[in-house]
Amino acid sequence: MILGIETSCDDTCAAILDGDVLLANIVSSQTEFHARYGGVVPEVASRHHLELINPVIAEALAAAGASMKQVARVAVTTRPGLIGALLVGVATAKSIAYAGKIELTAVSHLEGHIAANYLPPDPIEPPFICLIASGGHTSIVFVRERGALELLGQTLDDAAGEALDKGARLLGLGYPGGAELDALAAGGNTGYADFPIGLDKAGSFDFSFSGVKTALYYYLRNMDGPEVKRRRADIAASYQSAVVSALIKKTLAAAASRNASAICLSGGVSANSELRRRLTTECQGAGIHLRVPPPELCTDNAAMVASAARYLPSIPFPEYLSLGARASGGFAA
Amino acid sequence: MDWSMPLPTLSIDTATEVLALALGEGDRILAKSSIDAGRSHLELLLPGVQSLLEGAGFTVRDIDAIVAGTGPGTFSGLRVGIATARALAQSLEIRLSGFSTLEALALGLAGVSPAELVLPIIDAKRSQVFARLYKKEGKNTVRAESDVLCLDPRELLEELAKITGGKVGAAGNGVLAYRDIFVSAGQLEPLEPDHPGNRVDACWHLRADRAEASAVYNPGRLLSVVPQYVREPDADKTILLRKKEPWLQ
Ligand SMILES: [Zn+2]
Repeated sequence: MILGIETSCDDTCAAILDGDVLLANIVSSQTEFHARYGGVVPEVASRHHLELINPVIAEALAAAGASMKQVARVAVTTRPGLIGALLVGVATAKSIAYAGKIELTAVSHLEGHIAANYLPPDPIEPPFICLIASGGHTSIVFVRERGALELLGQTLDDAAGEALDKGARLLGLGYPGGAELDALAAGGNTGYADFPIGLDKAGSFDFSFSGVKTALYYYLRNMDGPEVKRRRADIAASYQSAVVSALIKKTLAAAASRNASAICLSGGVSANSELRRRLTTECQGAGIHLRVPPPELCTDNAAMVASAARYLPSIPFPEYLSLGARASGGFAA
Repeated sequence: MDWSMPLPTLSIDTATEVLALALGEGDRILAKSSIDAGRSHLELLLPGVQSLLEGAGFTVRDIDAIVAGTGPGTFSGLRVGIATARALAQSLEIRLSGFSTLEALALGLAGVSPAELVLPIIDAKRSQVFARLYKKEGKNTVRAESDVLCLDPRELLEELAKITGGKVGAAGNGVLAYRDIFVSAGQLEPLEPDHPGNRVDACWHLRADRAEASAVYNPGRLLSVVPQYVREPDADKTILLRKKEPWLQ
């Protein structure tokens, strides 16, 4: 059995994976604690991780009907993320491995998002293009084989989920507003307003979402209140469409450039209905297989971290005792 | 089971830049160490624990109880120490308790300072210190005479003057950081800068903890061992989700 631990941002997560079988996947979200600040406060996140990590691990073991003695390996996210948040998970994981005389695997958060695709139901094998889009990241990765990754593009400023949340805030919705924006946009006309798509040029798979957010700000400022109120759904739909169009265009172009016949989604933004609907149609037209993990495996979770540990090397004792955490850093160890 | 049997107990304190470790059994200290960690608590703590245990001929599975320093001190350092202590206790199913880092410094100071009142001072960064006034009691005991304070060094001196006019022994990395201010006030009698009493000694956690040595593992008690933050989290550092994409450079 592998015990997965993930504390890179504002969710405290533990999971138990036994071979292919996911026995437990516990996520204790801190969203409510951060909502009053309108964003994630790193120190608040770190404090909550410390409060939650031991109960979350205990709950994962209980849900799996397992004891700590049955855990043969611990997998933990060591990078990238909020450093104070990461170190709670890493200190915990190292201590469990040390106490149990078992192996430890260090996992990159993005490798984890990709590895969510190897979990049931409908696991998929490389090669494929993976779009990882959430409040914290927007990356397009070509996965040649398990663990052999090529980063094709990423956002140069805001993440896609962050752009959606910020748009929701400008439209007077709560935090985090991505889901509310999606619901509001469902009743709106995507062609009502014209918002720019960042870095819309061939050959680049990088993203920029700060322009579209600024465009929305000025658009709303130049409109009178009652009109904004009446057209809110249309504006939401047009704005969301601009963000989603960038994701779809670049993901499809990336698939074409690598002759990939499959596209996988991961990250919280993969729950966006506009993204799913349009990408499903586009992929059907292009003969590309589209795979979206269930929502609980798309958002941050520890099952994906345990999944990555199945093919990544483990660090032997006593080397892992000195393992650290890193705020930045890519897929490589 | 003989409850009077001495149980091997590990104590760790990560509240300051010094990782203070000790291994005890009943009345005896079997091993201790002090590691200058800077900001690398996460990287250095478990290697330090392993070499301490190895040196004493123990493995981690021989430990029957853990005591963790609860600060106050550096937030990240405390979280590394307490997360480590809790996860070891949870995995090994052994007893965990917390012990104040300020009180540990006070106990060390009580043995070497002539003054009846002692003031351990820990650097809180951002121009503040954590401190608490203690009065010497019997052997290995002190009694708190104030709350845990988090103040600017000059404010601390003003506060102290309100509580007592007498001489007060002082030690800790907070004294070292603001030594000129504390010495010039005249009321404090700080230990010399190179005196070991300025560093946290985890042996005090063990000596003071003996009363509880026969308590058994209790999962609920893991969560009662928490850092003494004293200061509220700093909300100006709010990032609207993650500001940038700092990864994958
Ligand atoms: Zn994520």
